[in-house]
Amino acid sequence: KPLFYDLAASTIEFNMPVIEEQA
Amino acid sequence: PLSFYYSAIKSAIEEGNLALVVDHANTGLKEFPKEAEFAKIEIVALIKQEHPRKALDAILRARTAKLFSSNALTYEEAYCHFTLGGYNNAKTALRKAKPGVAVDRLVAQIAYKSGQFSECIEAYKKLLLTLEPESQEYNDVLLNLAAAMAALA
Ligand SMILES: [K+]
Repeated sequence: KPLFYDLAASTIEFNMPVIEEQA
Repeated sequence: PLSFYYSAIKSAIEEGNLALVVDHANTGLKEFPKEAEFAKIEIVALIKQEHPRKALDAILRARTAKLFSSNALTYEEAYCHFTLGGYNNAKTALRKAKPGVAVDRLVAQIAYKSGQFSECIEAYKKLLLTLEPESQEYNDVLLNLAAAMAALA
């Protein structure tokens, strides 16, 4: 069977909002 | 506070502990039920853990709770259906997704997995025209194109 990669998976990424760092 | 949960989630992501990411996002959402970002994080973590059924449930819950509009998370929804082998459901979800390279890639994968190799080849050829030659993504797509051509032969 030919090699086939799941390239679509790379789109599913964490996109964290910028948060204030606590001192 | 909110930032407590975000810090905990960030650490868990950095540790690669996806189960803990789900835990924190879920607990955060219970305390802050309107914080849509927690739902999104939980859904992404479930997909990365290869729990597409649970991710679909979480997407439906988030929509029912009106955390997202009906065309948000449609790519994630389509990807879950795709991994579960629900190719028609995946295509339906993708119709509401924001058009772009990601959608084109998933359309090509759906065609491949459902045995529509000619359609898959056309999709990858079209995609190649939009990508920078010699880039990693270009080469990745070439590889999947070769697989589709071999499958058709
Ligand atoms: K692909």
